[in-house]
Amino acid sequence: MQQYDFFTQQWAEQAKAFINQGHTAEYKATKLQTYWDWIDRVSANYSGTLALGVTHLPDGPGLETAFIHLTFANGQVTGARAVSAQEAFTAEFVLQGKYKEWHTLMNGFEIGKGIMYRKLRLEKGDVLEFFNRIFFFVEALACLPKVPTHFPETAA
Amino acid sequence: MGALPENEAKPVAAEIMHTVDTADLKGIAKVDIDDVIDYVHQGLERLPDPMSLYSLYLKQRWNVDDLDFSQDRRDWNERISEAEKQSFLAIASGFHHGERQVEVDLVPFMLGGTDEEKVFITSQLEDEARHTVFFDRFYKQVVGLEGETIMDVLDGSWQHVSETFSGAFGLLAYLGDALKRDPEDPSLRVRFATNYMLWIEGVLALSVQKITLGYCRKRGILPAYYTGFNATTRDESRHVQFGLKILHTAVHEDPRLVKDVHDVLRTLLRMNGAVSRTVTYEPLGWDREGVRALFASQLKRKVHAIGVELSPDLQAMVAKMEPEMAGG
Ligand SMILES: [Fe+2]
Ligand SMILES: [Fe+2]
Repeated sequence: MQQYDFFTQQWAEQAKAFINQGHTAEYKATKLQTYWDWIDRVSANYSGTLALGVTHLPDGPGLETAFIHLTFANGQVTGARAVSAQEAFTAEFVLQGKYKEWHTLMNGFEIGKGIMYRKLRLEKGDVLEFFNRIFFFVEALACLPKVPTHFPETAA
Repeated sequence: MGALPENEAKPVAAEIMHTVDTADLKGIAKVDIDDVIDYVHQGLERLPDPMSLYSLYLKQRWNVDDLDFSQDRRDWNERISEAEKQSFLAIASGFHHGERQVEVDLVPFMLGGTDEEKVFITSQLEDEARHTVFFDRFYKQVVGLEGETIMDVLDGSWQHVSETFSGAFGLLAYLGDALKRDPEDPSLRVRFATNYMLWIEGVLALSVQKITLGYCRKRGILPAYYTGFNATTRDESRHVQFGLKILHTAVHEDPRLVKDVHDVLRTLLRMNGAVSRTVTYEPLGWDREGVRALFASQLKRKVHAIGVELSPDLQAMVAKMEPEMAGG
């Protein structure tokens, strides 16, 4: 299976596809329908931008960063681009974490719990506005581990 | 067990309040949880200053090492049905994690307080750490979870916690991060205290304490859990009074901050609609309506105590609150 380098343009396009595809019926059955209804209500009205940032990538002295900029229209991802830090910070929300934390999350650590444990931090954006849509964001990010990912530490 | 009357504390005998105020760990084991909750609400009428609450802490702090969980372990294995265990764990595990979260997330609030507030917060940090240790021991010695570290045991009870727990507690972590960047900002302080002291401690915690402790007392089981958690409830009364005093002062000095109280409550109530699993209260002697009414009355009381009115949209949201908050 083809693998995509973490946080590259190709990876961002895969992320977009998997977020838009959503979760399987099997996964959805683990939570009550009221939870998914809440997310549907929130996402139907959500158009905005969310940037994801990774810092402390393993190659180099440990401060390398990478960013993905996602555009949402009515809950669907309509744009996904690998961008510079400067461009990332034009997004409404910037959610950022160290590479080792992302790696844990990409290996299936529960996203909501990861937010509560500050594995990712909101570096930009109104905290209340973010939490008004929290489970929509959580479930969108929970699609990311589906992207077949080639992580930098395993680079040849 | 019905809901408490709204916005008014039931008249309490001064003697009972004196007992709650001064009881040591052996004494608190005999006190009715409803009396401790009355004690909390009585304090809301006065909202003592931080140094008075600190003195109260020095008098009321208890030693978690004095609790012996061996009878609790026998009760858990022999006197509690599977359905009761599931309901109990769904509720208590929210507390297990909640105590840990409020322990680690309190520090940013200390940074921007007055010197007196800082002194009190050191005592609250010690309380929350002790509450975390109390639950760690309960889960290890009574429920039988294994683990070398506090986090191991937390990971073991996470399966009982609703996914949506990370709503209110994730919000607390992120409001704390915002506060770290500007610890003196009045609006950020009001937002943080509304989530932490008014909602998590004042509404969620007190409701859960009433439900699980009422169950233990009625059944005459889990004596060490009852003792430690009743003493915890008394500790929480200081935390809630401290936080509500700060909110009361803040919104009176600058009425524009009422908007921050409302905005945080709006976000919390909105998240409350996302129920990912049902908590069954019936095995513990409560129905959904009773729990809903309990949450609503606790919330209205706390908001009333800081001299704020709920806006009409918030009142409508409160009327529709889901009773799943105890598990998160
Ligand atoms: Fe506590
Ligand atoms: Fe507390």
